Amino acid sequence: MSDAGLKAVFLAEQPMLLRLLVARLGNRADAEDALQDMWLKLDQTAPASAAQPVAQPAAYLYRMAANLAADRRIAATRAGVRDTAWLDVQPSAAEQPTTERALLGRERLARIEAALAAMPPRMSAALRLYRVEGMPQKDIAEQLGMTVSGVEKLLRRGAKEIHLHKIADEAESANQHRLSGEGKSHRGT
Amino acid sequence: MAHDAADIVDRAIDWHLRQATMDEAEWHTFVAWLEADPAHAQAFDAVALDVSMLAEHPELYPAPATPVARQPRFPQKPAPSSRRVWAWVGSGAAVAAAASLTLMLMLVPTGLTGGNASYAVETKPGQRRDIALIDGTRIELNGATRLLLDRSNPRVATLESGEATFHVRHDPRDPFTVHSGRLTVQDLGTVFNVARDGARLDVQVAEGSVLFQPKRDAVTLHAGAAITAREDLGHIAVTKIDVAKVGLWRERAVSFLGEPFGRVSTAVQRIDGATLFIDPGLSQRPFTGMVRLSGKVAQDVPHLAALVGAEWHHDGERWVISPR
Repeated sequence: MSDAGLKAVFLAEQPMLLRLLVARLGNRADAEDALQDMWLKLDQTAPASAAQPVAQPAAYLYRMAANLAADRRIAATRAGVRDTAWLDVQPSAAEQPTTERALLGRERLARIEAALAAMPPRMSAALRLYRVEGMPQKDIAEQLGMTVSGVEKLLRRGAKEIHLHKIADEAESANQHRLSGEGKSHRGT
Repeated sequence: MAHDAADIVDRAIDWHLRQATMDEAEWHTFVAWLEADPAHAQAFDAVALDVSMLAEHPELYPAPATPVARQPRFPQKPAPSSRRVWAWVGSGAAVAAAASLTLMLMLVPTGLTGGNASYAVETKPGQRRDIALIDGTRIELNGATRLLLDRSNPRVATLESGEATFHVRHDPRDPFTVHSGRLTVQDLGTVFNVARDGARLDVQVAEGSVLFQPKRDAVTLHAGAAITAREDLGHIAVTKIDVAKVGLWRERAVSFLGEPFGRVSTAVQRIDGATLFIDPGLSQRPFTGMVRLSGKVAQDVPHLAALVGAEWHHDGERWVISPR
């Protein structure tokens, strides 16, 4: 797939890519911004993509969009800022919300840490090999002496335990969150 | 209801795990699923955030009691994992790590000879560089930066011009010291950013703390503190900074807190590698906010001009922003 080909696929898939980004980011402006970023990245990395032909260009672009969206969501929770050109045009007194969001990020980390500590060592090991080391599931199966589908099950259950751990912890403050629209309000109004 | 919610989480985890191998049609189905119900998008977002944290925070994992990673039976391939292949798409972290590794290989062999071993590491305007010292310290250089290092002493660096973010491997018996002009910063276990702009030096601390002017004022700056020193005026001001905004140049962004708009031209030079002249009428105007550059001056200058309601033009080498 030549670079021009990849761009042609981008143009053809653009409406669907935008829908993916809107669904992930919760608003159209950020989604359009991210789409623009994608286009620029395709531009900048032209030589690299020419050297490494892309087998499934559409899937490649969707994955790229999904990764970009994930990065933006992380940045948003971490810094409490919106990923637009002029961010908080605000007096310095308004540091409070940022600190609060930084705390939310820290809470998330604490919950994940607690969940990892509570789960069977094999499960956290599989998560670490897959997520931190980026090891393919096949190799993890090899290392842990189990089947690939066993590894997949382990990863799935690991993700769920982390999610549930979080929900259990959040239970008492859930109503408050919903009322204030804080934390999970990125879907916009 | 609770049952439904659990189902949604299962689906979200399922979609997330399969992303690496999904084909075009499956992506379309995924988008439709996300759109079908805000609860779907919310569950997926929560899962994706959890997983990102899992990938980015190796310190969260419990230390295995017995080594889980047995020696593989086969000699290990230098596995280009799917995550790494896609890394350029996302954060630059993996790319930066790779860059630092290469540079370390270049620096180490020549670094063992000792003697008067001062050498300069430089970046051109618009260029970036990531260097790793033998002691484990990592330094990220913004564009238009010149840093002096010493082969016989990896614990000292001199910022002659430009900007750099230091990730220091802390050693209480041998602190890492950054000189710039007549000013000195010493680490106390740290990630910090140092920027030189003429007689002005800015130090911002993201993690741990540093000692500013250890032999004189010995001001301790903790994470979230920023100091602006003017050598020409003999003036030092300590302010607060959001730690997430330390070394923001690495994301091609500049943050202002009531500072003259003219400072953006330094960022444009370092990041875009272009000379931007800002009309004196505008350059002193105080600004608060954050601006993100694209790395392409032809895109950034019009954008900047629009943000301040000004005009721009390009004459030969120089870009100009002037009042309308």
